[in-house]
Amino acid sequence: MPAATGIKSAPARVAMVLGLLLGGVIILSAAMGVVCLPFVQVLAVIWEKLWGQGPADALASAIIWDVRLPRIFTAAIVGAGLSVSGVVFQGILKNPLADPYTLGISAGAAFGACVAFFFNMSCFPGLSVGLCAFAGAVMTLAVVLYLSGGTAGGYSSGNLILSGIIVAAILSAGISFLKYAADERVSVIIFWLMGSFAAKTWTDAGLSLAFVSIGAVVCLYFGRDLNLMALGDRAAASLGVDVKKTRLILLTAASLMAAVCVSVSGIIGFVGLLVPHMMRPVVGADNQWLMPVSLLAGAVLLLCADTFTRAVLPSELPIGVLTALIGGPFFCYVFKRQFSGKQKL
Amino acid sequence: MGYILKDICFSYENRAIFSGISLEIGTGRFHGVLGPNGSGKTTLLDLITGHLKPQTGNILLGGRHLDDFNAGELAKKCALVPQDFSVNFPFTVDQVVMMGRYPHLGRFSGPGAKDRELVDQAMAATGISDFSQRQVTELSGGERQRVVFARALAQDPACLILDEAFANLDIRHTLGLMTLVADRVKNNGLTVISVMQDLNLAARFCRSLLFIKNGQIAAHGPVDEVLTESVIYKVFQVSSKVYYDETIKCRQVVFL
Repeated sequence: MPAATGIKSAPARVAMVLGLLLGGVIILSAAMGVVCLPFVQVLAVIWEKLWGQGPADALASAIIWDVRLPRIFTAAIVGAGLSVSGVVFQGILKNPLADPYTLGISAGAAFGACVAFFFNMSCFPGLSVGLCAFAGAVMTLAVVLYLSGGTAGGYSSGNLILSGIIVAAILSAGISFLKYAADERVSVIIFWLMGSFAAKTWTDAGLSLAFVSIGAVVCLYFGRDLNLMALGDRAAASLGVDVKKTRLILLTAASLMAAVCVSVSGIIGFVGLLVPHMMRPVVGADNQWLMPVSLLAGAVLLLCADTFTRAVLPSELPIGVLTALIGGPFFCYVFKRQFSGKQKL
Repeated sequence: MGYILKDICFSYENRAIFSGISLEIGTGRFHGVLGPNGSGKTTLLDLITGHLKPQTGNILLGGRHLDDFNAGELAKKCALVPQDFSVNFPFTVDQVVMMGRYPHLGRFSGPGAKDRELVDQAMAATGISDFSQRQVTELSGGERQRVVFARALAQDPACLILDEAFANLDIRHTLGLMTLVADRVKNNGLTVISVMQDLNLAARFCRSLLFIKNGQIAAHGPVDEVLTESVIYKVFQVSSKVYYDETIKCRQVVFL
């Protein structure tokens, strides 16, 4: 116990270690791949680009700067966004089993993407899949908020979870219908749903960075309120939190982060659920630290997973499948260990 | 800080709770609020803490309209110990008690020496210092209740609102916390409004009692005036005998 409290008193140290680790993993994964390059060359290419010098080695520069780094940054940003979003969802819904997809954001995005694929094939070519996915996610959020608000317990945890489940169920049926109607071209939809960072560009990285950083700043700003809301609505209100307003702001910020992540990369499960659970034993439940630490840990984790499937496995596996395959059993372990000792209530 | 309620009407969706009640809750006293289940006690607390808004009528806190306070100001003046308290996340006891200082801190500024001292005092007073580093999820109901109590004390309020705050506590801790609160009322001019079920505890520690039945004020005044057999029968439909206990020097009730 004393050792554990020693670590908990210094979450700043954990954040620093994770930050350094993230930097290291970024350099490392940029060097790894089909063409293995020395680390020094990675640094050299980044240096050249930052100072606008001409490339010393055009091929290496193209591989690192145009192919690998956008993908690496997108993976890290999506991991960060999903993790912070997971912390916020668990905090707001007062349920450690919540994740960014609990309110049906993923189903909405998937439905939007399916619609795009479907009409792309038949009527309006050039429909952007990412944009439709984002629109689908935002509309789902709006419907869920509409369904769960208004009544006396406006946006209460139970209301939100129920509305999310209902809306997600309807959308899943819609997705099934579109898959059925798409006939033999169904494989495109299925591949998108499994998630991938292949062929991501700097535009993808920049877009997700913009949304995730704005969302993360909003969530960090309300970190203390999120702590108080864990004590229950009455207690939070008596400690000066405008519960309904704060909940709405945090839900919107976290959902938009999740929405942009899904639009960029497809559905990547377990990151938003797992990372907060991994970090709580390390830094404690204080959301002011849990959020930044989860942000960094999520970035490291998803980047490692993506690099694993891209550079280590003989053929690339969809990232969503990989995170579920590794994350699922790992979550079972965390779940068993955390909760088995505490059911004496 | 005392409250004045004027012509308060409040109803949930279609169920009327209060239809035009007025009352004055004096400063620097220990008030007990008593009544059967579902009589509107918790709703009354929700109204005076600003958690619910009355449809008509005014609530004044220290002479100022409740709507004129922003949430942060109100949190510096009033602390609430709610009835239901469960936390699903492994906050430490110390972290939860420190949350009582949040209203006094800037959004990103850490706790200062004074905050630390108030938190330590609150934990010592409620007897939870020994497990200040344990996680609240591991505590028993009564221990958790004391943590919440400590959090409310650390908030350093002028008005402390207790919603059956003693429901889960053993008799030693109940008496300890009641005495602690009563002392602060006497010495520091704290105002306490406590919803409770135990008439004898209320008679012993409170100075004024408010009996509520079906959203109406059944009786309100000093303990010696309102704690009578007829009031108890009117409110609870229970026969009783009220007598003066020489040992603890106050009125007590036995139910017949």
